[in-house]
Amino acid sequence: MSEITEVTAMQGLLKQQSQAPQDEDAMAQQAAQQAAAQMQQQGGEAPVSDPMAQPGMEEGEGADENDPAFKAAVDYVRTVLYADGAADEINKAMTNMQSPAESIADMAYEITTIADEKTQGEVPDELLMLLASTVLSEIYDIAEASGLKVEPADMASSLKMMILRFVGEQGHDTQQLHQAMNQVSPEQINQMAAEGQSDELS
Amino acid sequence: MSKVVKKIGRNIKKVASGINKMQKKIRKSKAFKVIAIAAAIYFTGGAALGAMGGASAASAAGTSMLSGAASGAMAGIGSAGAGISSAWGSLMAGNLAGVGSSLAGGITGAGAAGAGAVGGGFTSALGSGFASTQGLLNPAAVNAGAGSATTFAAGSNTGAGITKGAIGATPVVPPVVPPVVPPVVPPVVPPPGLLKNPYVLPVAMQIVGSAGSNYAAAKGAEEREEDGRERLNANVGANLHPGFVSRY
Repeated sequence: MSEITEVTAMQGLLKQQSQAPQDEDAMAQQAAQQAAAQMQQQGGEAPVSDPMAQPGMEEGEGADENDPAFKAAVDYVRTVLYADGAADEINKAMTNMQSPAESIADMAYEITTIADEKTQGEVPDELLMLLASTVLSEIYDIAEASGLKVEPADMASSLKMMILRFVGEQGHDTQQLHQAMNQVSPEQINQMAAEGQSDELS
Repeated sequence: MSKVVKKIGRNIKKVASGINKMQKKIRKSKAFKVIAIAAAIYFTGGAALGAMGGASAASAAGTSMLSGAASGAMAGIGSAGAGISSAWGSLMAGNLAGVGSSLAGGITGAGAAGAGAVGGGFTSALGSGFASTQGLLNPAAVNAGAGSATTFAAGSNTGAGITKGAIGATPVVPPVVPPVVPPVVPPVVPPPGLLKNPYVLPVAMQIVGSAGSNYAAAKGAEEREEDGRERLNANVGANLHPGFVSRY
C-alpha cells in the first residue's frame, strides 16, 4: 500500500502547491521586494544575487538568514505545510512508508525546489543548504509527531540523498562522492548524535 | 534570472559553503541539530563540526550538541571524512584524477579506523601487496632492479601507500573504444548478360528442368495415392471415404 499512499500524498501535496492561490506567490515576491525597498530606504544596500562577485568578501559571507528571499521561501514552506494542510497529508503518508528516509528526502527536495521557484530562484546559493535543511527538519518533526520511529541515521541518509540528487542535477558525476559518503556508517551518525545529546543533557 | 536557469545553474561551491550558515541557525529542533551534524560531515568531512562547536561555546547555547558531537566525529570518521572533503574539492575543481586519489585515501583511512569491512578489506589488500617484496608494488624491489628507478620511490609518496602513487598521480584516461562499424553487405545484383554466358546457361537450364521434374514426380505420386483409395473402396464394397465420388 505504502507506495500508493506515498504517491497519493505527494500528488496531493504538489497539487496543493500548484493550486495554491496566486496571492501566495504574489505574497512571497512582494515580501522580497518590500524587504529590499526597505533596506534601500534605510540607506543599506539591496541584497545582491551573487555576493561572491564582490571583491574582498569571504566565502559564504554574502548572505544571511535575514535575506528577504530566504525568509520568503521559509515562510512559504511553513504556510504550505501548516496552514494549507500539507502536513496532514504527510502525516497520513508516514504511517506506511517502506523506506521513510528516501520518501522524506524526495518530499523535502520537491518542497525545497518549489519554494525556490516560488521566490523566482532568488534564494542565494549560500542559503540553499539552510533552506533544504530547514525543510527536511520540518518534515522529520512532522514524522516524529506522527509516531514514526526515526533514527539520526535516517535523517543523515535523507540529507545525503538530497545532496547527491542536487549535485547530480547540476550536471556533476556523483559516483565518487556517493562512495566517499558511504564510508561514514549509519552507526557512526547515531553514535555522534547520541554523544551530542548526552553532552547537551549533562 | 529565469527560475529554471537558476535552478540548474547553482554554484556548487557556494551552496556547499552555506554549511557555515547553519551554525547560526541551530534551533530547538532535535531533527535540525542532527541534520546539521550530518551536513557538516557530508560537506566538510566533519571539519565544520569543530567550527560549530567553537561558535557554540562563544554564543549560542543550542549548539552544545554539535560541540559534543565534534569530538566523536573527529575520532569516528577520521580519514573517511578527509576522503569526503577531498572528493568535494575534486568535484568542484573538476579534477577526475584528484577524485580518485581522495576517494582511495578515504577508503584507506576508513579501513584503518575500522569503519567499514569493505574499506578494511581494500586497505589490507593494498597494504599486504605493498608490503610484500614481490612485484612492482614494492619500491624497494624497483630500486634494487634499476638505479634510475629511485625516482619511483621518491615520487610515489611511500608513506601514503599505493593510493596516491598509483591512483592519484596517474591521470585517469578512459579507454579508447573504437566505434563499432556494421559490416557492409553489398546487394546481390546479377551481372548483365549472365544468361548469355555459355557456362551459366546449361546450369540454369538444369536447375529449371530439375524443378519441373520434381513437380511432375510429386503430381504423379498424388494421383497414384488417389487411385489407391478408389480401388480400396471398390474392393471392400463399402464407402470408407464418405464424400468421395468415384470416377469409375
